[in-house]
Amino acid sequence: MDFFIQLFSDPIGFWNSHTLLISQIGINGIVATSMFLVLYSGQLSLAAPGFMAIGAYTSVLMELYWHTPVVLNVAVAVILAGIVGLLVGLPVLRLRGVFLAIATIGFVEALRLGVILNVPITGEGLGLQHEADPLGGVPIILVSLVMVVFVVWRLTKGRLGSAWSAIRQDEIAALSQGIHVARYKMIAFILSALIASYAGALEAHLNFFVDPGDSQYGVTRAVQILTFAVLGGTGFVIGPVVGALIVTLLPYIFEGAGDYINIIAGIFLIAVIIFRPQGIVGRGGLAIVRPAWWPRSRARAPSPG
Amino acid sequence: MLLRLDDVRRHFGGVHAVDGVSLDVEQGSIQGLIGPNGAGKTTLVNVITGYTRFQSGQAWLESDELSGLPAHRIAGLGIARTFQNIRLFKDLTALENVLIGMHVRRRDDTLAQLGTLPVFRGDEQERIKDAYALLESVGLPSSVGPRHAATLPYGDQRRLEIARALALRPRLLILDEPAAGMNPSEKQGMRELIERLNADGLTILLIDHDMRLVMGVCRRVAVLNFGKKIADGTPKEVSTDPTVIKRCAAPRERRASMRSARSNRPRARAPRRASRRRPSSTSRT
Repeated sequence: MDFFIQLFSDPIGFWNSHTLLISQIGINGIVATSMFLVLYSGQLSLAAPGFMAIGAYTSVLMELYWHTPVVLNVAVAVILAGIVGLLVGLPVLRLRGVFLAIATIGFVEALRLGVILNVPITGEGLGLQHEADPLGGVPIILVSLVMVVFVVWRLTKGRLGSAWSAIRQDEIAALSQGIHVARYKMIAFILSALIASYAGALEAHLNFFVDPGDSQYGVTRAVQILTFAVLGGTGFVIGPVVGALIVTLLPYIFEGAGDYINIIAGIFLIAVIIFRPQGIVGRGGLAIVRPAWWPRSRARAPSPG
Repeated sequence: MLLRLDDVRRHFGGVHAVDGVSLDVEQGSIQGLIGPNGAGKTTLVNVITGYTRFQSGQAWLESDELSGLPAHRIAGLGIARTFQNIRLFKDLTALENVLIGMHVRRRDDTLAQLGTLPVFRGDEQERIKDAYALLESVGLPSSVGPRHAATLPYGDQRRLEIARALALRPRLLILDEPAAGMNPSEKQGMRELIERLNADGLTILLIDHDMRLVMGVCRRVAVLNFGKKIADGTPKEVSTDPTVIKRCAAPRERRASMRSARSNRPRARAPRRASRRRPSSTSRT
Protein backbone atom coordinates (compact mmCIF):
# COMPACT_ATOMS: atom_id res chain seq x y z
CA MET A 1 0.00 0.00 0.00
CA ASP A 2 2.87 2.34 0.77
CA PHE A 3 3.62 2.20 -2.91
CA PHE A 4 0.31 3.70 -3.97
CA ILE A 5 0.17 6.12 -1.05
CA GLN A 6 3.48 7.55 -2.17
CA LEU A 7 2.24 7.76 -5.77
CA PHE A 8 -0.44 10.23 -4.69
CA SER A 9 1.14 11.95 -1.70
CA ASP A 10 4.60 12.51 -3.14
CA PRO A 11 4.61 12.08 -6.94
CA ILE A 12 8.07 13.56 -7.44
CA GLY A 13 9.61 11.35 -4.80
CA PHE A 14 7.77 8.41 -6.36
CA TRP A 15 9.14 9.25 -9.80
CA ASN A 16 12.68 9.48 -8.46
CA SER A 17 12.58 6.33 -6.39
CA HIS A 18 10.84 4.17 -8.98
CA THR A 19 12.46 5.31 -12.22
CA LEU A 20 13.53 1.81 -13.14
CA LEU A 21 10.06 0.41 -12.50
CA ILE A 22 8.42 3.12 -14.59
CA SER A 23 10.86 2.45 -17.43
CA GLN A 24 10.13 -1.25 -17.22
CA ILE A 25 6.42 -0.56 -17.44
CA GLY A 26 7.04 1.58 -20.51
CA ILE A 27 9.11 -1.11 -22.20
CA ASN A 28 6.62 -3.82 -21.35
CA GLY A 29 3.92 -1.57 -22.76
CA ILE A 30 5.79 -1.28 -26.07
CA VAL A 31 6.31 -5.04 -26.28
CA ALA A 32 2.65 -5.58 -25.42
CA THR A 33 1.72 -3.33 -28.35
CA SER A 34 3.85 -5.48 -30.63
CA MET A 35 1.96 -8.52 -29.34
CA PHE A 36 -1.32 -6.69 -29.93
CA LEU A 37 -0.47 -6.22 -33.60
CA VAL A 38 -0.02 -9.90 -34.33
CA LEU A 39 -3.07 -10.90 -32.31
CA TYR A 40 -5.16 -8.21 -34.00
CA SER A 41 -4.32 -9.74 -37.36
CA GLY A 42 -5.23 -13.19 -36.08
CA GLN A 43 -1.78 -14.62 -35.56
CA LEU A 44 -0.84 -16.29 -32.30
CA SER A 45 2.84 -15.46 -32.66
CA LEU A 46 5.13 -15.72 -29.64
CA ALA A 47 8.23 -14.47 -31.46
CA ALA A 48 8.48 -11.14 -29.61
CA PRO A 49 11.33 -12.14 -27.22
CA GLY A 50 13.38 -13.30 -30.18
CA PHE A 51 13.09 -9.90 -31.84
CA MET A 52 13.78 -8.21 -28.52
CA ALA A 53 17.00 -10.19 -28.30
CA ILE A 54 17.97 -9.13 -31.81
CA GLY A 55 17.33 -5.50 -30.87
CA ALA A 56 19.24 -5.73 -27.61
CA TYR A 57 22.27 -7.64 -28.84
CA THR A 58 22.67 -5.80 -32.13
CA SER A 59 22.57 -2.36 -30.56
CA VAL A 60 24.82 -3.24 -27.62
CA LEU A 61 27.36 -5.13 -29.74
CA MET A 62 27.62 -2.25 -32.20
CA GLU A 63 28.21 0.08 -29.31
CA LEU A 64 30.85 -2.16 -27.73
CA TYR A 65 32.80 -2.93 -30.88
CA TRP A 66 32.29 0.00 -33.21
CA HIS A 67 31.43 2.78 -30.73
CA THR A 68 28.79 4.07 -33.10
CA PRO A 69 26.15 6.51 -31.87
CA VAL A 70 23.23 5.02 -30.02
CA VAL A 71 20.59 6.26 -32.44
CA LEU A 72 22.34 4.50 -35.33
CA ASN A 73 22.72 1.31 -33.28
CA VAL A 74 19.05 1.21 -32.46
CA ALA A 75 18.09 1.95 -36.06
CA VAL A 76 20.31 -0.85 -37.40
CA ALA A 77 18.95 -3.22 -34.76
CA VAL A 78 15.37 -2.45 -35.73
CA ILE A 79 16.05 -2.86 -39.45
CA LEU A 80 17.86 -6.14 -38.85
CA ALA A 81 14.88 -7.42 -36.86
CA GLY A 82 12.62 -6.44 -39.74
CA ILE A 83 14.72 -8.48 -42.16
CA VAL A 84 14.80 -11.46 -39.81
CA GLY A 85 11.04 -11.04 -39.37
CA LEU A 86 10.57 -11.30 -43.12
CA LEU A 87 12.78 -14.38 -43.39
CA VAL A 88 11.11 -16.10 -40.43
CA GLY A 89 7.65 -15.03 -41.54
CA LEU A 90 7.91 -16.47 -45.05
CA PRO A 91 7.78 -20.12 -43.97
CA VAL A 92 6.09 -19.69 -40.61
CA LEU A 93 3.08 -17.53 -41.46
CA ARG A 94 1.49 -20.37 -43.39
CA LEU A 95 0.72 -21.86 -40.00
CA ARG A 96 -2.21 -20.90 -37.85
CA GLY A 97 -3.16 -20.89 -34.20
CA VAL A 98 -1.27 -23.21 -31.89
CA PHE A 99 0.96 -24.42 -34.71
CA LEU A 100 2.14 -20.87 -35.37
CA ALA A 101 2.74 -20.42 -31.64
CA ILE A 102 4.93 -23.52 -31.52
CA ALA A 103 6.85 -22.54 -34.64
CA THR A 104 7.56 -19.07 -33.26
CA ILE A 105 8.64 -20.57 -29.94
CA GLY A 106 10.99 -22.67 -32.03
CA PHE A 107 12.42 -19.48 -33.52
CA VAL A 108 12.85 -17.89 -30.08
CA GLU A 109 14.57 -20.91 -28.61
CA ALA A 110 16.75 -21.51 -31.66
CA LEU A 111 17.92 -17.92 -31.44
CA ARG A 112 18.60 -18.04 -27.72
CA LEU A 113 20.05 -21.53 -27.33
CA GLY A 114 21.53 -21.86 -30.79
CA VAL A 115 22.97 -18.41 -31.42
CA ILE A 116 23.16 -16.28 -28.30
CA LEU A 117 24.45 -19.01 -25.99
CA ASN A 118 26.81 -20.44 -28.60
CA VAL A 119 28.51 -17.55 -30.36
CA PRO A 120 31.45 -16.12 -28.38
CA ILE A 121 30.79 -12.53 -29.46
CA THR A 122 27.49 -12.43 -27.52
CA GLY A 123 29.22 -13.30 -24.26
CA GLU A 124 27.36 -16.63 -24.29
CA GLY A 125 25.80 -17.42 -20.92
CA LEU A 126 27.54 -14.53 -19.20
CA GLY A 127 25.70 -11.88 -21.14
CA LEU A 128 27.10 -8.49 -22.10
CA GLN A 129 28.21 -5.71 -19.84
CA HIS A 130 28.12 -2.18 -21.18
CA GLU A 131 27.82 1.38 -20.03
CA ALA A 132 24.30 2.61 -19.70
CA ASP A 133 23.62 5.87 -21.50
CA PRO A 134 21.08 8.66 -21.74
CA LEU A 135 18.84 6.69 -24.10
CA GLY A 136 17.84 4.65 -21.11
CA GLY A 137 16.17 7.73 -19.73
CA VAL A 138 12.55 7.36 -18.73
CA PRO A 139 11.26 10.23 -20.89
CA ILE A 140 12.45 8.61 -24.10
CA ILE A 141 10.85 5.33 -23.19
CA LEU A 142 7.54 6.92 -22.27
CA VAL A 143 7.51 9.10 -25.38
CA SER A 144 8.29 6.01 -27.48
CA LEU A 145 5.44 4.16 -25.82
CA VAL A 146 3.00 6.93 -26.62
CA MET A 147 4.20 7.15 -30.22
CA VAL A 148 4.10 3.41 -30.82
CA VAL A 149 0.61 3.16 -29.36
CA PHE A 150 -0.53 6.10 -31.46
CA VAL A 151 0.86 4.69 -34.70
CA VAL A 152 -0.61 1.25 -34.12
CA TRP A 153 -3.94 2.75 -33.11
CA ARG A 154 -4.10 4.80 -36.30
CA LEU A 155 -3.13 1.79 -38.40
CA THR A 156 -5.95 -0.29 -36.94
CA LYS A 157 -8.39 2.45 -37.98
CA GLY A 158 -7.35 2.48 -41.63
CA ARG A 159 -7.54 0.14 -44.58
CA LEU A 160 -4.80 -2.01 -43.08
CA GLY A 161 -6.71 -2.36 -39.83
CA SER A 162 -9.94 -3.39 -41.48
CA ALA A 163 -8.05 -6.00 -43.50
CA TRP A 164 -6.45 -7.29 -40.29
CA SER A 165 -9.85 -7.51 -38.61
CA ALA A 166 -11.24 -9.45 -41.54
CA ILE A 167 -8.28 -11.86 -41.50
CA ARG A 168 -8.60 -12.36 -37.74
CA GLN A 169 -12.27 -13.19 -38.10
CA ASP A 170 -12.12 -15.49 -41.11
CA GLU A 171 -9.21 -15.83 -43.53
CA ILE A 172 -11.23 -17.62 -46.18
CA ALA A 173 -13.96 -15.00 -46.19
CA ALA A 174 -11.29 -12.27 -46.25
CA LEU A 175 -9.87 -13.81 -49.44
CA SER A 176 -13.30 -13.69 -51.04
CA GLN A 177 -13.35 -9.94 -50.40
CA GLY A 178 -10.17 -9.45 -52.39
CA ILE A 179 -7.90 -9.09 -49.37
CA HIS A 180 -4.34 -10.28 -49.94
CA VAL A 181 -4.25 -12.31 -46.72
CA ALA A 182 -0.61 -13.40 -46.87
CA ARG A 183 0.63 -9.85 -47.48
CA TYR A 184 -1.35 -8.28 -44.64
CA LYS A 185 -0.33 -10.98 -42.20
CA MET A 186 3.29 -10.39 -43.18
CA ILE A 187 2.94 -6.63 -42.69
CA ALA A 188 1.58 -7.16 -39.18
CA PHE A 189 4.29 -9.69 -38.35
CA ILE A 190 7.13 -7.44 -39.55
CA LEU A 191 5.72 -4.37 -37.83
CA SER A 192 5.48 -6.30 -34.60
CA ALA A 193 9.07 -7.46 -35.09
CA LEU A 194 10.20 -3.84 -35.54
CA ILE A 195 8.38 -2.72 -32.40
CA ALA A 196 9.62 -5.63 -30.31
CA SER A 197 13.22 -5.11 -31.35
CA TYR A 198 12.94 -1.41 -30.58
CA ALA A 199 11.70 -2.28 -27.10
CA GLY A 200 14.54 -4.78 -26.77
CA ALA A 201 17.12 -2.16 -27.70
CA LEU A 202 15.66 0.32 -25.22
CA GLU A 203 15.63 -2.29 -22.51
CA ALA A 204 19.26 -3.20 -23.12
CA HIS A 205 20.23 0.41 -22.63
CA LEU A 206 18.14 0.68 -19.50
CA ASN A 207 20.31 -1.86 -17.72
CA PHE A 208 24.06 -2.17 -17.61
CA PHE A 209 23.80 -5.78 -18.49
CA VAL A 210 22.23 -7.85 -21.26
CA ASP A 211 21.04 -11.07 -19.68
CA PRO A 212 20.55 -14.06 -22.01
CA GLY A 213 18.27 -15.83 -19.50
CA ASP A 214 14.98 -17.52 -20.29
CA SER A 215 13.01 -14.90 -18.40
CA GLN A 216 14.51 -12.23 -20.63
CA TYR A 217 14.58 -13.61 -24.17
CA GLY A 218 12.99 -17.03 -23.81
CA VAL A 219 9.63 -18.74 -23.60
CA THR A 220 8.97 -17.40 -20.09
CA ARG A 221 9.11 -13.89 -21.48
CA ALA A 222 6.90 -14.86 -24.41
CA VAL A 223 4.25 -16.17 -22.04
CA GLN A 224 4.52 -13.05 -19.94
CA ILE A 225 3.97 -10.86 -23.00
CA LEU A 226 1.00 -12.97 -24.04
CA THR A 227 -0.37 -12.46 -20.53
CA PHE A 228 -0.14 -8.67 -20.99
CA ALA A 229 -2.26 -8.92 -24.11
CA VAL A 230 -4.83 -11.42 -22.89
CA LEU A 231 -5.26 -9.74 -19.51
CA GLY A 232 -5.62 -6.29 -20.99
CA GLY A 233 -7.77 -7.35 -23.91
CA THR A 234 -6.87 -7.51 -27.57
CA GLY A 235 -9.80 -5.63 -29.09
CA PHE A 236 -8.23 -2.27 -28.55
CA VAL A 237 -4.63 -1.00 -28.70
CA ILE A 238 -4.60 0.32 -25.17
CA GLY A 239 -5.64 -3.06 -23.73
CA PRO A 240 -2.26 -4.81 -23.83
CA VAL A 241 -0.59 -1.67 -22.44
CA VAL A 242 -2.95 -1.72 -19.46
CA GLY A 243 -2.24 -5.44 -19.15
CA ALA A 244 1.51 -4.71 -19.11
CA LEU A 245 1.00 -2.05 -16.46
CA ILE A 246 -0.98 -4.36 -14.19
CA VAL A 247 1.24 -7.40 -14.60
CA THR A 248 4.39 -5.35 -13.98
CA LEU A 249 2.82 -3.84 -10.88
CA LEU A 250 1.45 -7.12 -9.50
CA PRO A 251 4.21 -7.43 -6.87
CA TYR A 252 3.31 -3.95 -5.62
CA ILE A 253 -0.46 -4.39 -5.84
CA PHE A 254 -0.30 -7.51 -3.71
CA GLU A 255 2.52 -6.31 -1.46
CA GLY A 256 0.54 -7.20 1.62
CA ALA A 257 0.30 -10.86 0.67
CA GLY A 258 3.89 -11.47 1.68
CA ASP A 259 5.01 -15.01 0.88
CA TYR A 260 1.71 -15.82 -0.80
CA ILE A 261 2.08 -13.15 -3.42
CA ASN A 262 2.42 -15.53 -6.36
CA ILE A 263 -0.66 -17.47 -5.34
CA ILE A 264 -2.71 -14.31 -4.91
CA ALA A 265 -1.49 -12.88 -8.21
CA GLY A 266 -2.33 -16.16 -9.96
CA ILE A 267 -5.84 -16.17 -8.50
CA PHE A 268 -6.26 -12.58 -9.63
CA LEU A 269 -5.29 -13.45 -13.22
CA ILE A 270 -7.63 -16.43 -13.28
CA ALA A 271 -10.46 -14.30 -11.91
CA VAL A 272 -9.95 -11.72 -14.66
CA ILE A 273 -10.01 -14.40 -17.35
CA ILE A 274 -13.20 -15.92 -15.92
CA PHE A 275 -15.16 -12.75 -15.28
CA ARG A 276 -13.78 -10.64 -18.08
CA PRO A 277 -12.70 -12.98 -20.90
CA GLN A 278 -12.44 -10.12 -23.40
CA GLY A 279 -9.77 -8.53 -21.18
CA ILE A 280 -9.85 -5.59 -18.83
CA VAL A 281 -10.20 -3.13 -21.69
CA GLY A 282 -12.87 -4.93 -23.65
CA ARG A 283 -15.32 -3.52 -26.09
CA GLY A 284 -17.46 -2.36 -23.20
CA GLY A 285 -14.88 0.09 -21.84
CA LEU A 286 -12.79 -0.07 -18.72
CA ALA A 287 -15.38 -1.28 -16.21
CA ILE A 288 -14.78 -4.79 -14.87
CA VAL A 289 -18.34 -5.09 -13.62
CA ARG A 290 -20.79 -2.91 -15.43
CA PRO A 291 -24.01 -1.96 -13.69
CA ALA A 292 -27.16 -2.85 -15.59
CA TRP A 293 -28.18 0.80 -16.00
CA TRP A 294 -24.83 1.77 -17.57
CA PRO A 295 -25.31 2.73 -21.24
CA ARG A 296 -23.90 0.13 -23.57
CA SER A 297 -21.34 1.41 -26.01
CA ARG A 298 -22.64 1.13 -29.53
CA ALA A 299 -20.57 -0.74 -32.01
CA ARG A 300 -19.10 1.57 -34.60
CA ALA A 301 -17.69 1.48 -38.06
CA PRO A 302 -14.13 0.14 -38.20
CA SER A 303 -12.57 3.39 -39.27
CA PRO A 304 -14.13 6.53 -37.85
CA GLY A 305 -11.82 9.12 -39.33
CA MET B 1 -20.04 -14.42 -72.56
CA LEU B 2 -19.19 -13.15 -69.11
CA LEU B 3 -17.69 -16.33 -67.70
CA ARG B 4 -16.34 -19.08 -69.89
CA LEU B 5 -14.98 -22.36 -68.61
CA ASP B 6 -13.20 -24.66 -71.00
CA ASP B 7 -12.54 -28.28 -70.04
CA VAL B 8 -11.75 -27.49 -66.41
CA ARG B 9 -10.40 -30.38 -64.35
CA ARG B 10 -9.64 -30.85 -60.70
CA HIS B 11 -8.76 -34.22 -59.20
CA PHE B 12 -8.17 -35.04 -55.57
CA GLY B 13 -6.05 -38.16 -55.75
CA GLY B 14 -8.25 -40.57 -57.67
CA VAL B 15 -11.43 -38.58 -57.17
CA HIS B 16 -12.40 -36.62 -60.23
CA ALA B 17 -14.19 -33.79 -58.45
CA VAL B 18 -14.43 -31.64 -61.55
CA ASP B 19 -13.83 -33.66 -64.67
CA GLY B 20 -13.63 -31.61 -67.82
CA VAL B 21 -16.44 -29.13 -67.31
CA SER B 22 -17.13 -26.47 -69.93
CA LEU B 23 -19.66 -23.83 -69.06
CA ASP B 24 -20.69 -20.46 -70.43
CA VAL B 25 -22.44 -17.87 -68.34
CA GLU B 26 -24.09 -15.17 -70.37
CA GLN B 27 -23.88 -11.53 -69.40
CA GLY B 28 -26.97 -10.54 -67.44
CA SER B 29 -28.32 -14.05 -66.98
CA ILE B 30 -29.00 -16.27 -64.01
CA GLN B 31 -27.22 -19.53 -64.66
CA GLY B 32 -28.22 -22.46 -62.47
CA LEU B 33 -25.93 -25.27 -61.44
CA ILE B 34 -27.47 -28.38 -59.94
CA GLY B 35 -26.53 -31.95 -59.23
CA PRO B 36 -26.67 -34.52 -56.47
CA ASN B 37 -24.49 -34.31 -53.35
CA GLY B 38 -20.83 -34.77 -54.16
CA ALA B 39 -21.33 -33.94 -57.82
CA GLY B 40 -18.56 -31.34 -57.67
CA LYS B 41 -20.63 -28.18 -57.63
CA THR B 42 -18.83 -26.54 -54.75
CA THR B 43 -15.46 -27.71 -56.05
CA LEU B 44 -16.28 -26.06 -59.36
CA VAL B 45 -17.09 -22.83 -57.52
CA ASN B 46 -13.84 -23.10 -55.59
CA VAL B 47 -11.94 -23.59 -58.83
CA ILE B 48 -13.58 -20.58 -60.46
CA THR B 49 -12.95 -18.35 -57.43
CA GLY B 50 -9.34 -19.46 -56.98
CA TYR B 51 -9.72 -21.35 -53.71
CA THR B 52 -8.70 -24.55 -55.44
CA ARG B 53 -6.13 -24.63 -58.18
CA PHE B 54 -6.91 -25.76 -61.73
CA GLN B 55 -5.17 -28.90 -62.86
CA SER B 56 -6.04 -28.33 -66.44
CA GLY B 57 -8.44 -26.32 -68.51
CA GLN B 58 -9.01 -22.62 -68.79
CA ALA B 59 -11.38 -20.00 -67.50
CA TRP B 60 -12.01 -16.44 -68.54
CA LEU B 61 -14.02 -13.64 -67.05
CA GLU B 62 -14.69 -11.70 -70.24
CA SER B 63 -11.12 -11.19 -71.45
CA ASP B 64 -9.39 -11.87 -68.11
CA GLU B 65 -7.77 -15.26 -67.77
CA LEU B 66 -8.57 -16.77 -64.36
CA SER B 67 -6.51 -19.94 -64.27
CA GLY B 68 -3.63 -19.78 -61.84
CA LEU B 69 -4.74 -16.58 -60.12
CA PRO B 70 -5.02 -16.55 -56.32
CA ALA B 71 -8.45 -16.07 -54.77
CA HIS B 72 -7.97 -12.44 -53.75
CA ARG B 73 -7.00 -11.46 -57.28
CA ILE B 74 -10.05 -13.16 -58.74
CA ALA B 75 -12.25 -11.35 -56.22
CA GLY B 76 -10.54 -8.16 -57.31
CA LEU B 77 -11.35 -8.93 -60.95
CA GLY B 78 -15.02 -8.98 -60.06
CA ILE B 79 -16.18 -12.44 -59.05
CA ALA B 80 -17.90 -12.27 -55.67
CA ARG B 81 -19.17 -15.32 -53.89
CA THR B 82 -21.08 -16.47 -50.87
CA PHE B 83 -20.37 -19.66 -48.99
CA GLN B 84 -22.44 -22.77 -48.49
CA ASN B 85 -21.87 -22.55 -44.74
CA ILE B 86 -22.16 -18.83 -44.04
CA ARG B 87 -18.77 -17.21 -43.49
CA LEU B 88 -19.40 -13.78 -42.05
CA PHE B 89 -16.96 -11.84 -39.88
CA LYS B 90 -19.01 -12.88 -36.89
CA ASP B 91 -17.72 -10.58 -34.18
CA LEU B 92 -17.86 -7.51 -36.38
CA THR B 93 -21.02 -5.55 -36.99
CA ALA B 94 -23.14 -5.95 -40.09
CA LEU B 95 -21.95 -2.55 -41.26
CA GLU B 96 -18.29 -3.46 -40.74
CA ASN B 97 -18.83 -6.65 -42.71
CA VAL B 98 -20.06 -4.67 -45.71
CA LEU B 99 -17.31 -2.05 -45.31
CA ILE B 100 -14.66 -4.75 -45.48
CA GLY B 101 -16.20 -5.83 -48.76
CA MET B 102 -15.17 -2.43 -50.14
CA HIS B 103 -11.52 -3.16 -49.43
CA VAL B 104 -10.52 -3.51 -53.06
CA ARG B 105 -11.82 -0.13 -54.19
CA ARG B 106 -10.84 1.70 -51.02
CA ARG B 107 -7.93 4.10 -51.32
CA ASP B 108 -4.87 3.11 -49.33
CA ASP B 109 -5.03 5.51 -46.41
CA THR B 110 -2.16 4.21 -44.28
CA LEU B 111 -0.13 7.39 -44.48
CA ALA B 112 -3.23 9.52 -44.09
CA GLN B 113 -4.05 7.67 -40.90
CA LEU B 114 -0.60 8.46 -39.55
CA GLY B 115 -1.30 12.15 -40.03
CA THR B 116 1.12 12.83 -42.87
CA LEU B 117 -1.66 13.25 -45.40
CA PRO B 118 -5.11 14.76 -44.98
CA VAL B 119 -7.52 12.13 -43.77
CA PHE B 120 -10.07 11.09 -46.34
CA ARG B 121 -13.04 11.83 -44.14
CA GLY B 122 -15.29 12.29 -47.13
CA ASP B 123 -14.42 8.81 -48.36
CA GLU B 124 -15.34 7.39 -45.00
CA GLN B 125 -18.77 8.99 -44.96
CA GLU B 126 -19.32 7.93 -48.55
CA ARG B 127 -18.45 4.33 -47.75
CA ILE B 128 -20.77 4.18 -44.76
CA LYS B 129 -23.58 5.61 -46.87
CA ASP B 130 -22.86 3.05 -49.60
CA ALA B 131 -22.83 0.28 -47.02
CA TYR B 132 -26.25 1.23 -45.68
CA ALA B 133 -27.56 1.40 -49.24
CA LEU B 134 -26.23 -2.12 -49.84
CA LEU B 135 -27.84 -3.42 -46.66
CA GLU B 136 -31.10 -1.93 -47.81
CA SER B 137 -30.75 -3.39 -51.30
CA VAL B 138 -30.70 -6.93 -49.87
CA GLY B 139 -33.66 -6.14 -47.66
CA LEU B 140 -31.97 -5.48 -44.33
CA PRO B 141 -33.17 -2.44 -42.39
CA SER B 142 -30.52 0.07 -41.35
CA SER B 143 -31.14 -0.84 -37.71
CA VAL B 144 -29.21 -4.04 -38.49
CA GLY B 145 -26.04 -2.03 -39.23
CA PRO B 146 -24.60 -1.74 -35.71
CA ARG B 147 -25.53 -5.31 -34.72
CA HIS B 148 -22.91 -8.02 -34.57
CA ALA B 149 -23.20 -10.39 -37.51
CA ALA B 150 -23.39 -13.47 -35.28
CA THR B 151 -26.50 -12.16 -33.52
CA LEU B 152 -28.55 -11.83 -36.71
CA PRO B 153 -31.18 -14.43 -37.56
CA TYR B 154 -30.15 -17.05 -40.09
CA GLY B 155 -31.96 -15.59 -43.07
CA ASP B 156 -30.53 -12.15 -42.39
CA GLN B 157 -27.02 -13.61 -42.18
CA ARG B 158 -27.50 -15.04 -45.67
CA ARG B 159 -28.64 -11.63 -46.88
CA LEU B 160 -25.76 -9.89 -45.16
CA GLU B 161 -23.33 -12.23 -46.88
CA ILE B 162 -24.85 -11.24 -50.21
CA ALA B 163 -24.59 -7.54 -49.29
CA ARG B 164 -20.92 -8.04 -48.45
CA ALA B 165 -20.35 -9.76 -51.79
CA LEU B 166 -22.13 -6.91 -53.59
CA ALA B 167 -19.80 -4.42 -51.90
CA LEU B 168 -17.11 -5.69 -54.27
CA ARG B 169 -19.21 -4.35 -57.17
CA PRO B 170 -18.85 -7.73 -58.85
CA ARG B 171 -19.36 -8.55 -62.48
CA LEU B 172 -20.41 -12.06 -61.50
CA LEU B 173 -22.03 -13.15 -58.24
CA ILE B 174 -21.78 -16.81 -57.30
CA LEU B 175 -24.33 -17.96 -54.75
CA ASP B 176 -23.48 -21.32 -53.20
CA GLU B 177 -26.74 -22.72 -51.84
CA PRO B 178 -28.21 -19.41 -50.72
CA ALA B 179 -31.50 -20.99 -49.69
CA ALA B 180 -30.06 -23.96 -47.77
CA GLY B 181 -31.82 -24.46 -44.47
CA MET B 182 -34.42 -21.81 -45.10
CA ASN B 183 -38.14 -22.20 -44.54
CA PRO B 184 -40.51 -21.75 -47.52
CA SER B 185 -41.23 -18.07 -46.89
CA GLU B 186 -37.54 -17.24 -46.47
CA LYS B 187 -36.87 -19.15 -49.68
CA GLN B 188 -39.49 -17.10 -51.45
CA GLY B 189 -37.80 -13.94 -50.13
CA MET B 190 -34.42 -15.17 -51.35
CA ARG B 191 -35.88 -15.92 -54.75
CA GLU B 192 -37.29 -12.42 -55.01
CA LEU B 193 -33.95 -10.98 -53.95
CA ILE B 194 -32.09 -12.96 -56.62
CA GLU B 195 -34.54 -11.86 -59.29
CA ARG B 196 -34.29 -8.25 -58.19
CA LEU B 197 -30.48 -8.27 -58.27
CA ASN B 198 -30.58 -9.80 -61.72
CA ALA B 199 -33.09 -7.22 -62.89
CA ASP B 200 -30.54 -4.59 -61.87
CA GLY B 201 -28.15 -6.13 -64.35
CA LEU B 202 -26.10 -8.46 -62.17
CA THR B 203 -25.04 -11.80 -63.62
CA ILE B 204 -25.59 -14.63 -61.15
CA LEU B 205 -24.37 -18.21 -60.98
CA LEU B 206 -26.75 -20.01 -58.65
CA ILE B 207 -25.96 -23.35 -57.06
CA ASP B 208 -28.69 -25.00 -55.08
CA HIS B 209 -30.35 -28.28 -54.26
CA ASP B 210 -33.75 -26.72 -54.23
CA MET B 211 -35.19 -27.60 -57.63
CA ARG B 212 -38.07 -25.23 -57.25
CA LEU B 213 -35.78 -22.29 -56.65
CA VAL B 214 -33.31 -23.15 -59.41
CA MET B 215 -35.88 -24.13 -62.00
CA GLY B 216 -38.03 -21.15 -61.15
CA VAL B 217 -35.41 -18.47 -61.25
CA CYS B 218 -32.82 -19.54 -63.83
CA ARG B 219 -32.98 -19.17 -67.55
CA ARG B 220 -30.32 -21.79 -68.11
CA VAL B 221 -29.39 -24.71 -65.91
CA ALA B 222 -26.36 -26.98 -66.03
CA VAL B 223 -26.38 -30.38 -64.35
CA LEU B 224 -23.26 -31.90 -62.81
CA ASN B 225 -22.87 -35.52 -61.86
CA PHE B 226 -19.62 -37.11 -60.67
CA GLY B 227 -17.73 -34.06 -61.83
CA LYS B 228 -19.06 -34.18 -65.39
CA LYS B 229 -21.58 -31.91 -66.96
CA ILE B 230 -24.40 -34.15 -68.15
CA ALA B 231 -26.88 -31.55 -69.31
CA ASP B 232 -27.12 -27.86 -70.03
CA GLY B 233 -30.11 -25.93 -71.27
CA THR B 234 -33.34 -24.28 -70.28
CA PRO B 235 -35.00 -25.61 -67.12
CA LYS B 236 -37.57 -27.37 -69.28
CA GLU B 237 -35.00 -29.13 -71.45
CA VAL B 238 -32.98 -30.18 -68.45
CA SER B 239 -35.86 -31.54 -66.43
CA THR B 240 -37.07 -33.69 -69.27
CA ASP B 241 -33.59 -34.82 -70.29
CA PRO B 242 -33.48 -38.63 -70.02
CA THR B 243 -29.85 -38.74 -68.83
CA VAL B 244 -30.59 -36.30 -66.05
CA ILE B 245 -33.61 -38.25 -64.91
CA LYS B 246 -31.68 -41.52 -65.08
CA ARG B 247 -28.46 -40.31 -63.45
CA CYS B 248 -29.76 -38.04 -60.78
CA ALA B 249 -30.89 -40.73 -58.34
CA ALA B 250 -34.21 -41.41 -56.62
CA PRO B 251 -36.13 -41.59 -59.89
CA ARG B 252 -39.72 -41.14 -58.79
CA GLU B 253 -39.17 -38.51 -56.17
CA ARG B 254 -36.69 -36.54 -58.21
CA ARG B 255 -38.74 -36.59 -61.36
CA ALA B 256 -41.81 -35.48 -59.45
CA SER B 257 -39.93 -32.67 -57.79
CA MET B 258 -38.63 -31.49 -61.13
CA ARG B 259 -42.08 -31.48 -62.62
CA SER B 260 -43.60 -29.59 -59.76
CA ALA B 261 -40.74 -27.17 -59.96
CA ARG B 262 -41.76 -26.40 -63.49
CA SER B 263 -45.37 -26.10 -62.47
CA ASN B 264 -44.27 -23.42 -60.09
CA ARG B 265 -43.03 -21.25 -62.89
CA PRO B 266 -45.49 -18.76 -64.28
CA ARG B 267 -46.14 -20.01 -67.80
CA ALA B 268 -45.00 -23.61 -67.97
CA ARG B 269 -47.86 -26.06 -67.51
CA ALA B 270 -47.02 -29.20 -65.65
CA PRO B 271 -48.58 -32.61 -66.30
CA ARG B 272 -51.72 -33.10 -64.32
CA ARG B 273 -50.45 -35.85 -62.06
CA ALA B 274 -47.56 -33.86 -60.76
CA SER B 275 -49.54 -30.74 -60.13
CA ARG B 276 -51.81 -32.63 -57.83
CA ARG B 277 -48.96 -33.43 -55.47
CA ARG B 278 -48.60 -31.43 -52.32
CA PRO B 279 -45.82 -28.88 -52.78
CA SER B 280 -44.26 -29.54 -49.37
CA SER B 281 -43.50 -33.17 -50.15
CA THR B 282 -41.82 -32.37 -53.43
CA SER B 283 -39.05 -29.94 -52.65
CA ARG B 284 -35.95 -31.90 -51.94
CA THR B 285 -32.94 -30.54 -50.14
